[in-house]
Amino acid sequence: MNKIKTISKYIRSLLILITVLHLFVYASILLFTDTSNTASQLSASYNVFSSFIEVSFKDSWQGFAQALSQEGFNTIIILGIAESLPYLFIYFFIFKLFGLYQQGIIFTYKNSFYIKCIGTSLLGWIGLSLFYPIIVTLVIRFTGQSKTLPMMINIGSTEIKYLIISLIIYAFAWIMKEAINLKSEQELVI
Amino acid sequence: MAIIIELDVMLAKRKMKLNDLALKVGITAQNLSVLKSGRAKAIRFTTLDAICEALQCNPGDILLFTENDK
Repeated sequence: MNKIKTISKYIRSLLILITVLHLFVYASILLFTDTSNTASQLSASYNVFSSFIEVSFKDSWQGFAQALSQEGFNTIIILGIAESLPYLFIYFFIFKLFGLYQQGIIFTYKNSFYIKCIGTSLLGWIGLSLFYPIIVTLVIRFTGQSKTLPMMINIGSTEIKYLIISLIIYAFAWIMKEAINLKSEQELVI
Repeated sequence: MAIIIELDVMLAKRKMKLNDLALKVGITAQNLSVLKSGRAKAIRFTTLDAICEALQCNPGDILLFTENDK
C-alpha cells in the first residue's frame, strides 16, 4: 500500500508539472509569438527542457486553421485554447484518481467514476474537434467578421483512435464497477 | 426478500446474546448482525450448521419463507 501511495504522490506531482508546462507553453505562444498571419506560422514550436512542445493543427483542424489564418484571425487564440481544454480535464481527473490512490482508496465507485470521467473527457475532445470549427464559423459569420470562411467538419484517424481509447476506458470503468458490486455482495455472504 | 431470518426470535427463546452466539459459531458479531438484520446475500452451510448447533434448532427455525408482495 505504501508503494501505491508513494507512486501516486510522484504521479500527482508530475501531473502538476505537465499542466503548468502546458499552460506556460500556451501562454508563451500567445504572448511572444507573432501569430498574425500566414499558414506557415500556425506551428509555433518551443524547446522546453530539451523536449519539443508545439501547438499545431496538423490533423483535423489543419484546413480550418489555414482558412482562419487566410481570413486574418489568430488561430492560436481561437483553436489553441479549445484544443488544450480537454487535456486539462484529463489531467484533472487523473490527478483526482491518483489522489484517491494516495489516500489508500483503490477499489471504490469513486475510482470507477473518475476513470469514466477520463473516457468522457476524451469523448468530449472528439465532439469538440468535430463541432468546434462549425461553431466558430457560425459565430464569425453571424457577427459579420467574415462571409467567406468555409464550414468544415473532419473525421480523421486521430478521432477514431481517441474514440476507441475512450470506449476501452469506459469498458474498464464498467468492469471495475461490476467487480466492486461482486465484492460488496461477497462481503454479505455470512 | 422472501426469506426472513428469525435469528432474534431463536436468540430470545434460548435467552442468548448475539455476542455469545458469535463466539460459539466462530464468526464476528458484526457479521451475525448483518445476518440478523436480513442484509446478508447468502449464508454458508457451515455457518448455518454452527448456528443450529449452538441454538439447538433446525434451519427452518431460523429461516422462514414468505410470499413476496408484488
